[in-house]
Amino acid sequence: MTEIISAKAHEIEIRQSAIEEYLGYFGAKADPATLDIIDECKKEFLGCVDYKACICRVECCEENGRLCLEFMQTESKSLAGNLRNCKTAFVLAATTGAAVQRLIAKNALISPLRGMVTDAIGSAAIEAFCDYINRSLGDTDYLRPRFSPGYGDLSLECQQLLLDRLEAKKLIGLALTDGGMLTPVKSVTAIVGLSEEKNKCRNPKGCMVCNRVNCPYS
Amino acid sequence: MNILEKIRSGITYVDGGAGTLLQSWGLEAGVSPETWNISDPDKIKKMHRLYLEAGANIITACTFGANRLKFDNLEEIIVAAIKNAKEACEGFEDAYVALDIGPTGKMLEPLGDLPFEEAVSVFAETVKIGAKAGADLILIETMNDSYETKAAVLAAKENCSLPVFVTNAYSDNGKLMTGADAAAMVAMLEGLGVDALGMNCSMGPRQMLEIASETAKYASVPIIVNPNAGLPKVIDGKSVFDVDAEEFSDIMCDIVRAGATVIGGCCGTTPEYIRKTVEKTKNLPFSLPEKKNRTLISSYTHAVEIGQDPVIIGERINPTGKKLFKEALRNNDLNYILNEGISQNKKGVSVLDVNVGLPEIDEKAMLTKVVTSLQSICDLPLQIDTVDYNAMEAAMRLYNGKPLINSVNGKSESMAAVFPLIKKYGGCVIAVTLDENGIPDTASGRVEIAEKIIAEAAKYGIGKNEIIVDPLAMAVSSDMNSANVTLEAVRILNSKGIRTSLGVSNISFGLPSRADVNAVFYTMAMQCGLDCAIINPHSEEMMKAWHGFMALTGRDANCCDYIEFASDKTPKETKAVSAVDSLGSAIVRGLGDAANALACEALKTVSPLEIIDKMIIPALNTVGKGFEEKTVYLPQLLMSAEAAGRAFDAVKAAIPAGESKKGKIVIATVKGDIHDIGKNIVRTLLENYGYDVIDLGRDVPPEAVVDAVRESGAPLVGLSALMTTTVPAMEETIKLLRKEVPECKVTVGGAVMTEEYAEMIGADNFSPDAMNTVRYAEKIF
Repeated sequence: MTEIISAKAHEIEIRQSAIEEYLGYFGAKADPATLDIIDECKKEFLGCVDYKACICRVECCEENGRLCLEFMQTESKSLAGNLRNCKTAFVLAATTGAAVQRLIAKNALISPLRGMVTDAIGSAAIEAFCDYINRSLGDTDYLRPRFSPGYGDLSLECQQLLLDRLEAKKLIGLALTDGGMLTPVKSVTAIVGLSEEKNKCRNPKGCMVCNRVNCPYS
Repeated sequence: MNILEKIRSGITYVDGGAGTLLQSWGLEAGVSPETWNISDPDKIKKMHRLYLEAGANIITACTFGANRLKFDNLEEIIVAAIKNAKEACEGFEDAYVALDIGPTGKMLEPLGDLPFEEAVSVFAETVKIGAKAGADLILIETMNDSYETKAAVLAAKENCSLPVFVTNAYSDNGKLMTGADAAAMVAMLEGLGVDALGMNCSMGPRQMLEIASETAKYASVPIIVNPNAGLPKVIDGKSVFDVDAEEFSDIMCDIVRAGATVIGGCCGTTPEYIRKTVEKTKNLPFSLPEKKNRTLISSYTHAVEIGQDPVIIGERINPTGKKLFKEALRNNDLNYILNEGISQNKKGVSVLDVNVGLPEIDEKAMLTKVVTSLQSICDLPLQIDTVDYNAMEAAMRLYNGKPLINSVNGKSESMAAVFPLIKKYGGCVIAVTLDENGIPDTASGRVEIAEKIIAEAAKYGIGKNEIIVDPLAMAVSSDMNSANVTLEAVRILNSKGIRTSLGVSNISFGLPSRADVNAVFYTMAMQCGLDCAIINPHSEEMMKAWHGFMALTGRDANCCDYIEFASDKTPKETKAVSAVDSLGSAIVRGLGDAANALACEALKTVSPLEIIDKMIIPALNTVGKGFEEKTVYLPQLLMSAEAAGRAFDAVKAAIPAGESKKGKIVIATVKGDIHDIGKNIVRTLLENYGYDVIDLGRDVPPEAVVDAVRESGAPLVGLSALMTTTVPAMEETIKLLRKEVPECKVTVGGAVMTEEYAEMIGADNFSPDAMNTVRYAEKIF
């Protein structure tokens, strides 16, 4: 059965550094004028964000070189690597809500800068919400880094299977467009493996930003 | 008796969650229950019978997901489902079969990519088959988007004569996923003429009790409540719902007391839940909702009630007397129009009037475009303002909520055109007190016309509460008694319980210092009981009048709103502006107000083109160079570009026609892609470098790009794609451009784009960032 997780705006800490990174300030300090705009847009964002996720637990196993996850089978080597030795995994879909998509569109109309800043806040927020969900899943030491369709060789097409399994449209209003985009924007689908061994990987952002060809932990 | 008589005669019971039973009988996860109508009809019939035996009157045929987007054998499934349900009903009295209609599974535009009319057509197909197969009613359920709900209701009303029941899936914050609260849904659905409405799924009875009570405040039709068996939770490693049949049925008693008269269950509610609910509620007092007579309009998030506090309708989306607005309409410049909406929203209006009528434009096309665009970014209810009835209908159809319509008058022709639309789509309407004999000179004459209009509306089944009378403010400069007559009419109408509205500023026509006269008249009218007014919210005097009135009539607790209004008047940039001395430095520092002021100042002594070439462009180049050298970051680059834009605004008006722009560039986010932040950044920069940018928006088909290039003769196209899945659409667009307009150059960009990709799909240039697009454009022109 699918479980719904929701969070209030104040329960999710959106990292300022993450917003600035999305705006292109890698390591550099944002200028005061930009900081002011981030503050203003963040206030608006917090007034309309509606964090919701649905999540379920599935069994996973490997059969004839294919990874089987109850609702889907895949030949993705990247995901198989990520889930190696995991007998179960969590499947999740999370969103910041329809009002966020409207706010980004509205602010982009007022000024592209505000649009870009709100978009960056949305990106940082959905990441923070996913981290929050991760923490609610139990001892994070045993959780594999979050893995989303589109990472490595896991095709984006399997998103529809994930959403169907979770009844995401019905439960949290999250759907796919024909072009394979999640809507509302600032949403995520992911698979999180539950391992019996402690997760040794210490890359806080997980597989999607890790460039290691031969992961020693999978 | 038929189902409508049944729901008016006593508490009526709906069945419970089909999925729960079917899964316990072997339906595997991932298999659609609808397919069992054909493969395992006996189990489907058995399920229906169990609910009927438990006391359900309405059973929902197993057609929840039956639509053409999901099933190729749609007719076979629906016909089988209705047949199974009808056979199950044999031998039961008062048993009715509902054609069950759930969401399409797709998100409607503008949030997603399913066009509204396509959604209507998808639902229509299901409705036609289901009605022909013999369903007794249509049950549209588990809808968590108001717009999709409207599409389904229209499809039902247009394609069958069966009663239509609607239940929405609310979230724990009391709103649908796309934002509508209970009041907004009641306003819209009753406007569309549904026979019963309410809620189902997504939460247990306890959480639904509050939403049921809220719905009962507004609803005049019977209220349906079909909750889940609580919320899912994990017990001993198994997921279960947390409310058992005993507790469920206890809370259902409270739900009946709160006003629901059609009750049942949803996910997790087995026949046992329904049986206990029937047992405990069947002897509770039954009473149908009273007719509320509230005057409600709504957007996709909330309702606005007219008749309580005075409501401000913003008048600025209207070309009358506005040169720039007319130009925007002619140039299809939606951004200008939408910004008028956003800025009025900020000023505190509750409703936006939308009038885009100009003799030389296609008003129907423009009105629908503006209405749908406004409702993608602004959550205020809209007042659709047109004398073109085709445009009015098209806009009402696509409106996501219950609109205010401006206007109808006492002429037979007007009423015959407008009232059928109000009846079909729902809406409150401004009734102007004039008829074939003109505008009466007296207050009583105007009231008489108002009453004639209300009587005529009643013939269509439209209540007095849906009519808001405008007794017309006429210029006091040409008739010294005109204000007295109008105010007297407002007073009389108010005493008769008739809602009123005025276009306030007409009163001062021909006078100096019009804003002062308008504000006094507005205050007097509010004191006479005026319910709403169409005003300019940018007029300080008018807003002062409204805020003052609210505070003085005990409508503003502790005068909090007034204090906030009065203190929010300090221009933000004042300090910074005084510190810059040149236009260039204002642009480099991203100070828009200063850039605008300094450009105005410079125009006194320098030619407009010189300002662009010698001041604006060099300043932008300084920032652009910094960006390329990584000493300036994208937000600063944009801030400067926007400041340059403000300078341009000042300079543009002074540029002789034909000399304004460097050249035309068409830009678009490709088909299938709905992300446009990157493309918008590129547009801003290009515009402020003096290019005439034709922005086709997002999700643009290849043919539309080719058409725009052909029409404009633009030698350069910029295409953006965010995801790998939409890069093929980019390639397709380039191929078509090569075939149809081979001389046109193409530059591409977007998150997934690389030099190699760009080359592979045949682009002329890869733009890793917005500045690169500018540099490439400089090479082309």
